[in-house]
Amino acid sequence: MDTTNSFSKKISRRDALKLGSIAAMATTATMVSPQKTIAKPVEEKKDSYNVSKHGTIDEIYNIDPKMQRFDQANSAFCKSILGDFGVIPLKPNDNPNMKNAFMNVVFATGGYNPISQEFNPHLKAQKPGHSDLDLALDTGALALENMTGSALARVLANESGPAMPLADGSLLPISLYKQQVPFPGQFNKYEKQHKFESPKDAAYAIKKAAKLYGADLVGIAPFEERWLYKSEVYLPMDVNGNPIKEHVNPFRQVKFDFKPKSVIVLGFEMDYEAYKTQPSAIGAAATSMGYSQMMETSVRLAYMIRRLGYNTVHAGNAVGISVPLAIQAGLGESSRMGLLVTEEYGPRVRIAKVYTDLDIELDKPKTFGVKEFCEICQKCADACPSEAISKAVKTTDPENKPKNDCNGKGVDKWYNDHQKCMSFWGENWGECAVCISVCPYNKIDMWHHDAAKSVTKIPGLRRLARTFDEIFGYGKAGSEKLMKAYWNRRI
Amino acid sequence: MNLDLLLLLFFILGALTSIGVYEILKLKNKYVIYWYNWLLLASGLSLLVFSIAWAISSVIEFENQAAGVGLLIFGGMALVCFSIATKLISKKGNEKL
Repeated sequence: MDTTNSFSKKISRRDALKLGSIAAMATTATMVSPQKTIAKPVEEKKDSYNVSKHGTIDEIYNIDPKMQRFDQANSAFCKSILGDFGVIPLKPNDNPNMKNAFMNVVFATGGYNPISQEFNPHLKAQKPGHSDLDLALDTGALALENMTGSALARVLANESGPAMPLADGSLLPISLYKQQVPFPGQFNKYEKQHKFESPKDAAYAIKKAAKLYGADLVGIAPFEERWLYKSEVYLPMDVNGNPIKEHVNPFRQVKFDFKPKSVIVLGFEMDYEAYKTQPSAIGAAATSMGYSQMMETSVRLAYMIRRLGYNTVHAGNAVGISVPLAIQAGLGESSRMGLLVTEEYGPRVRIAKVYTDLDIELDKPKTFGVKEFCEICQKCADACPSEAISKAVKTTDPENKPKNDCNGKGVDKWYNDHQKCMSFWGENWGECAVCISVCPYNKIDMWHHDAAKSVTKIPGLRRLARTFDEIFGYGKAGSEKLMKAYWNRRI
Repeated sequence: MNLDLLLLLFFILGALTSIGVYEILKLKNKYVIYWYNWLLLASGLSLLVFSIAWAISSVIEFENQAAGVGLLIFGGMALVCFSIATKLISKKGNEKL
């Protein structure tokens, strides 16, 4: 039989023109939908075909039921600044006086560390990515957060976000302050409680508000004590906000003056172009923007919920561990580098949270093959300047052991050496985040990356996905060319 | 993300697809085309459109190497499909009388 019979009628130019117009209009209309151009959708993105939903985080990771709550005093930042964590020489010819060089990061903007009496050599040489212009970019990005605190307060509060300068010049992190303490500008809980028709309605309203306030991702996790810090860093104060001078212990037990029911977890995308320049002050500016957004959005959402008559505690990195909460809230999965990997932006996100006693519908955790891909990829471990990321294939491999107190124990994950990581921060006079920059999941939320990401979900093609990621030139961290290109590129 | 550029991109892609489909359909007036030839032509056109879309999208996000490599790989595959299809279609005896 002649297969051409059904096409026997000749196609005229007019028919072709009609066909072409319809195809062009349909394609354009589909790709540039009104949702993108006019209104920001509130409903979460529809999960792709091979996303699995789970009941709880315990269904995804082995978590020891006897796991101890993590102490914020053991976090790498606290140990670097308040403890004797110090740094370790990464190279044989490293300056032996580099002890506590992590403070270089704290004094990076000024370029002089008064403790070690050393100058920032990168700034002195005006190296790309560390010049006055780059550091000024970071300073500006952090400005909003600094208006409510200072670099020192942020560091003391483990970058917790909000902090408040007091009249005597001292600084007060306000991530977990008592609702009844009348700080200036604080909105106390409204007396009359607003009743939502259902927890689902409450979740919809809160998510819509969170997006309006600037969150890119929102999810809701149940409140679980195991993810709270055992103790947190704070500056002791009296009810008038004056520091209690005789109180020398900067750590206190984390406890609430209400019974939280859920945690609203907020995700913020950090700038892709700036992150391509990591490790640099330009990349740090993107991180700082994330911190400013964490503070801005979490405070706003907390105030809104208090106006509805419910209790809240808002926090950036403080109060509790963010990654398991974000996983439980359905924002993403854990990864080799220990950070959250989202479907939308990969690991290039910051997380803030609002603890509340509002009855609200909870989200379910989801997986989309990150752990399996991390087992094969290891791009972050290969690129890490301080070789701090575990190269064990599986989390269950015998060589994957906790490195020091910074590693939370009892959770199925890769253990990384945070002391090595912080050492590089000190040497770099600024943050690193090369692991985030090179991760194959670190892409802009665009159609062609969705197509490429789907390859990471196919078992036989995972190794190929990393190879192609490199061939295509993604994730070239540390390139001075990219640092220079950031300012030369016209928008 | 530059929405104007994306709008222009997908308009161009739509136009390119239409021209491609028209040119391919024109072939059937001259040659007997079997199902595998249709498959090769459709694959070639899809890959060509995909390679252009990939390249322009990559340029929009300042990933020039990704644009070049994408064009090379997907565009190359499109060329291979078109070459084989052309060779098969223009074989002796395939012409319509």
